[in-house]
Amino acid sequence: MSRRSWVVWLVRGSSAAAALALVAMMLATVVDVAMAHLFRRPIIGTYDLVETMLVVSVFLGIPATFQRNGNIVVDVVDLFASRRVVRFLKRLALALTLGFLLLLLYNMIVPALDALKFGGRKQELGLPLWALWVPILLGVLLSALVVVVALVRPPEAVDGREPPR
Amino acid sequence: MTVQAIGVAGIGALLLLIFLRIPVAVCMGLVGFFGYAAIDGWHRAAAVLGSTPFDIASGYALSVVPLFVLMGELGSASGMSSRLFRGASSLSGGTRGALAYAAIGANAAFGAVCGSSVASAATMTRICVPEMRRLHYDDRLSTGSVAAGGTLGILIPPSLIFVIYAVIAQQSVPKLFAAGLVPGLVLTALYILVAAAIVFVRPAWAPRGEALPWRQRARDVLGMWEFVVLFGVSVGGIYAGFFSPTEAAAIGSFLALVIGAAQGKLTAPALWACFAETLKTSCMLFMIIVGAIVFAYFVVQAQLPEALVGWAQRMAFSPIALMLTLIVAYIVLGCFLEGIGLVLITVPVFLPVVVASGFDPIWFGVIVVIVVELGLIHPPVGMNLFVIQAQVPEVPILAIYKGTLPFLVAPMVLIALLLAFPSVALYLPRLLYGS
Repeated sequence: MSRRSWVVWLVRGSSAAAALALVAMMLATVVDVAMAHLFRRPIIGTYDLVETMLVVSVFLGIPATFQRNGNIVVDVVDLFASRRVVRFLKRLALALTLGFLLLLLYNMIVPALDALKFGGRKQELGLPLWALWVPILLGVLLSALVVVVALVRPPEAVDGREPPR
Repeated sequence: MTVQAIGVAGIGALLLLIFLRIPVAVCMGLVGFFGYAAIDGWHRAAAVLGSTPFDIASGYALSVVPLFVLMGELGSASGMSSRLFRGASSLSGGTRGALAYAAIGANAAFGAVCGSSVASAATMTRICVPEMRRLHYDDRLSTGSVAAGGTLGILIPPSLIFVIYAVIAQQSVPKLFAAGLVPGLVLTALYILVAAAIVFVRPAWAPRGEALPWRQRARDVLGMWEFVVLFGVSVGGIYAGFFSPTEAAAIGSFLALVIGAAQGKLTAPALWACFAETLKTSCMLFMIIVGAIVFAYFVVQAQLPEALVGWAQRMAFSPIALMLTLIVAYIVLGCFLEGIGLVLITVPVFLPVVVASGFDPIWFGVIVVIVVELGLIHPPVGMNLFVIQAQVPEVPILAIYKGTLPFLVAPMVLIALLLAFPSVALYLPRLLYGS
């Protein structure tokens, strides 16, 4: 299996986990509201669960967003620049995106280690805060891998116009 | 170099990078990080960049974003948009230009379950434009009415731009949702008036349709019941104080899921597509919010809002003159910047000046959304126009531009109305939540 298909499978897996987290967020809130309004018994920990699932769904969903060119780009320059220039700018965008993701990853290590060291927990569920850093770090790392794969593609492969957003 | 000079250089660098087609989130994150480091040192900039993603993604308030996006996706996949168009066209059936009015009305209704203009325009183009072409409507009128109607999605609650504005400006989401409703309805009426004026001047662009029997009309209108249920329960629940925005969004998406499943529309692939699209949109928004927060830290460190307030005081601008200047600046920036980026870049800089001049930040949120709407349909960026062209590639982009131009009058009139009568936006939030 090539490196690219490994990354594709990893992204699919993380997207599936993100989708499940979204479902959990929706169902937990619906059940909590129903219990609170019908039986005056809200489910303790729903807030924490929603916050945790939000972290999981956002950060495990981000790699697919990078894979599908889902980030907002203003492409006015395409109207007057030559194809060669646009191709160069797309490469530049990928390189700067990779730089940003690596910068983010590097700077997140210290607060993640702090969370592990100080042992903070979510108030209602008692979930350790360092556990929330796991999907964050994994998601950003996988996004960086996706960008690396896009960067090493042949130049013609980056010629396609981004889908409308 | 003064901190303000670093701030101005940072804004210049940001605009240059955006122009060079670097993703907006990356531009804001990089400029914010390096600008902050230039003012306050690497150590503090690193702390801000490292902690922002966690702070943003683990906040309960933003959980409303993916849930409302999911509600719109599920509503769209269950065929609600086409039933809305059928209902609206039955209502106005028999009059000249009926389908243009129906396209605007259906867009407004779809905007009430889907918080994104681009998603509204994409969905409604697929439904409205082929039908209008079949009945020999002029392409300029059909694409213009769908492009304009599509913008209503971000003004009529639930609106993603309002949620983002609320986060950046630290305002209440329910108040903003309440403030957007009346202007959204007024803008719908204004767009229909513009369409009627076009039909009056160019009757050949809109053939008279067949009037349907009243029984058929009643059936088509009743076919819009899912929209009434979704909007009534979710947004109505927020207005009535039953639900928080996140609870309303979760219940709305759950209802949309149940309705779609009961109608047999949500097959496994369709459901997966809804979730994939929801995640893509939400993650894109979160990335851009992370970049914007880092950028906002830099803007504050560079003391740009204070400099802008000082400049406005030195120029002795009246509040109205200041607001008009800002609106013109928004319209110019909207020629080059995409809507969400525009809000995230400008609000941290402009809001302190606006508040210092005595304007209500909730009212300003409505103004910002309207100028973003304008940006969605005016060239050269005009995201809705590109989305429509991608759906109907046989219509030249120039025809779409020409068709949309007359509709630009409507948001301008609404801005004038809001400047003259701020209560158009503020009456409902004051009624529901007090001053």
